[in-house]
Amino acid sequence: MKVNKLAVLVALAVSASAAHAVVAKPKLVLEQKDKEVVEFCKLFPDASICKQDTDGAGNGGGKRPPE
Amino acid sequence: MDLDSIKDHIQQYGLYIQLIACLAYIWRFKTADAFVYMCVGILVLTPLHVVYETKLLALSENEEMRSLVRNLWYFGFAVTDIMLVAIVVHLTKKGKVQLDYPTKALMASFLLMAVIQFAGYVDQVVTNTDYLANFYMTSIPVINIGVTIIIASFSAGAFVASFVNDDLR
Repeated sequence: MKVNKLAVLVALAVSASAAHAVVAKPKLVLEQKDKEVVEFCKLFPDASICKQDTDGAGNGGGKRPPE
Repeated sequence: MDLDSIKDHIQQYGLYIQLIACLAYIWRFKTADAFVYMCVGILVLTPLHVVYETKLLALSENEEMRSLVRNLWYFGFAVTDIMLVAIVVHLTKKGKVQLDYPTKALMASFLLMAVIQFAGYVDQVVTNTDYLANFYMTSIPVINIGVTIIIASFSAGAFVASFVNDDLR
């Protein structure tokens, strides 16, 4: 059976994007940069608000790994 | 809405912009050229990066694992970026497809991100200097946005040009 290469590529693209929508819960980087939050997190790094989360971008979105 | 929030939105929702641009290009030209391979490769790689990042962040909650996470963080992203470029080069050679300029630019972007990841590794893990912290945190989002702009603008340009050519015939 001959498989249409383009159909496979489209299916790959759509399913990967759907998976991304399910996996990533986009969170504005601005929220993470909020000054008060940053100050708070310096004092209480283990608070739930300070936990790093993915922003849905490739290559970690430029975030550095937790220290 | 200021410039920063526009930048954040483009980076976070870039994948969906890329998907629309990629599908529009495929629908219009119905050909598996180098740009389509690269575009689909990026669409597959980004969710993989997100899953990888999520797993590493979960792993880092255990303090004993943080050293391992720091190593895996930079190397994982760098190696997968290089693999994407290698796979696309392999597919284009196998299919005897010519590499166009947008595809070359996208490949260069991913190779550059791989180099930045290795540099980040040396800076944070090997030498522990943190000289590149700001550069790392700025350059990766900028390149991510650049990738989205290249895909969207090339698709839109090719799309418009093809309709203009059709009208001229």
